[in-house]
Amino acid sequence: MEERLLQIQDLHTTFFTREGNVHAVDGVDMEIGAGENVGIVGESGCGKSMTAMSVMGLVKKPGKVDGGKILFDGMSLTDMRPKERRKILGNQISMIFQEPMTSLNPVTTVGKQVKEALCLHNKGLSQKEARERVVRVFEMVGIPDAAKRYGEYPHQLSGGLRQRVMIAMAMVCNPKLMIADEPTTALDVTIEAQILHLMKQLQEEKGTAVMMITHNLGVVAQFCTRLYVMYAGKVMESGTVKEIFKNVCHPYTDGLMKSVPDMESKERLYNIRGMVPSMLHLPKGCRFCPRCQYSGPKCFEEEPKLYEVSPGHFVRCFLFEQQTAQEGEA
Amino acid sequence: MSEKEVLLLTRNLTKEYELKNNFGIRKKQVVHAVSDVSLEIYKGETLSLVGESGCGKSTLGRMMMRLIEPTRGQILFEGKDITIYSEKQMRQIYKKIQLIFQDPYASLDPRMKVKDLIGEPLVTHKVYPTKEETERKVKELMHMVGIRPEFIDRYPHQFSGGQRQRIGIARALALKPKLIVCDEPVSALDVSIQSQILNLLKDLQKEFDLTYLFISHDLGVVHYISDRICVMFLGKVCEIGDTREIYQNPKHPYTRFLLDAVPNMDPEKKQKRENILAGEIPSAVNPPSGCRFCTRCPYAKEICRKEEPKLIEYEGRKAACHFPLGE
Repeated sequence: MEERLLQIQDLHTTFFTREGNVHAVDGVDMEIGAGENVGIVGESGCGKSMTAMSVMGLVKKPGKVDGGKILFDGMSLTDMRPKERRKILGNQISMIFQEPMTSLNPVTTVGKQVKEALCLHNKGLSQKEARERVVRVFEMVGIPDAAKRYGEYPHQLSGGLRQRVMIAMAMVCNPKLMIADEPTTALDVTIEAQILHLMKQLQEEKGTAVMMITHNLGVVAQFCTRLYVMYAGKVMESGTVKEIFKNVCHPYTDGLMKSVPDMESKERLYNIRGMVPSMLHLPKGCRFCPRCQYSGPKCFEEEPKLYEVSPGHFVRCFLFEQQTAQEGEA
Repeated sequence: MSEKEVLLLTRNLTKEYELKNNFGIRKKQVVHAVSDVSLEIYKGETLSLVGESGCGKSTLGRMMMRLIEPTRGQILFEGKDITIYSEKQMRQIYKKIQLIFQDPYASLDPRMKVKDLIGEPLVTHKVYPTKEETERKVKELMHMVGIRPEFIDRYPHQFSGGQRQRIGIARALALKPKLIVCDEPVSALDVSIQSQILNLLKDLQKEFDLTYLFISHDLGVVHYISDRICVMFLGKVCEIGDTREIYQNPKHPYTRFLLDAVPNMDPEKKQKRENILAGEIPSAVNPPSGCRFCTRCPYAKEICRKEEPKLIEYEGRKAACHFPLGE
């Protein structure tokens, strides 16, 4: 792998609620190389957004990052003073949110909002220079009439344009890492295709690494090179997109892929039985075992580790424990 | 479907909203939400309305139930013109047409128990004389949609999104309707729950001989559930017909772009740049003259801007385009 840009080691993010402690992120290890496109997939409540928020330091009370390390470019974000950390956030790591309408300020022009992000991290910039740079970024993300749009308010723009503004805001400081939290979920398919295409193009031009959080496996297949599948706060499977889509190992990933109706066959859809467990009452042993069709007695007792089934492809399931052991001996 | 019996039919159904003029300065503006839609829904089939936001698919669906009053046009349900029905007469029709909503969190009254939520239509229409019988029916419905009947005294917040959607389905089924309008019933759900609900809808259709009008923007879901689809753009029908025919061989350029825009689950099949549709959805206030798709269509010629294309019959479907693909 290329140079490691982001390393997450045994991250724990816990919410201390009246009903009990919710381990939203429960021992997650992750790595993103420079310029790499990594997808994080899972259903709601699996901890994928919380992982991103932990990296950004945006976890709000009653939540807290209470264990593990986040290393960015060799620096430890978790040990840094908040003031130091703020210099990196928005500058070297930026974030795109799902709902562009609620993440933009409705009473300020979009140009000013993007300029604010730029000026905050580049104190020496004159107003005129800053404005020019924002207009250039607007042009780069494909906003037509960039100079005119600079002075418009978010409500005057369509959903697709708003998301382009968000991307412009994220790109304006030339970050090394961009975290995109469901950037296309709220958009129509034709606009989604445009935005994904734009992100890919920018990523190739600027060499920005992208952490793409999504529930849409199609987006991952099209956009990412590597992928982490999360379930109930843990990584269940990880590896390259090519490998996982060809050789699915974890029963959860497999079920997830089979649950998506494709546009070719009309065969009855596969169902993962049951539902996502409450994070307050997680099952003992493997978290997926009550829903898993292969679960044996061991699954209900012990928690599986991540086993490497092929180089770079890790699976958290006992089904692959022996396979790895045998390979290890051989 | 050997004998094709029409259950519901629309003729030139149109909905226009007048915008309030700005202090009398500007001229009156009209939003063309749905324009001149004529289609048939056959008994026992699933017809899907597909399109991007603002294309009028939900408006059309609700208009068919007269939850939104059409500006012009007719709706014939079982051969009778229901556009002229009074409110009292419509109440009888609602026994036969029911609606499933998108958001299972917003569509159930948080202060009502499951018993009352599912039982409400039965009580309103005085189906059963006694409480006991109503309750027995509610339990039967709960069992049918896969919720444990013991939960009859629970409130909606005690259920997950998928279970709530099941409650919504049970409620729609209570009166044994013929037609169920499903307005984005799985859009708010996670993938694994979505497949459960889709399979449930299919099973129920087989068991009770239901007809669905399925409204969705998800082309994968639509392909799975529907027999026929109707692709809409800016209040107009672009293409309507057999699902398989249209997916394999679309005639309208918009359908083609829509299908190509769906991110493919196969990482080997990368989306091609030229297959991405540029531009945004035009405003429904001043839709483009001629073909409404012409401003985004790469194949548009002079005639497209002037003359509105009519729906023309091709194998297995109708499409409205001056230059249909592959012809």
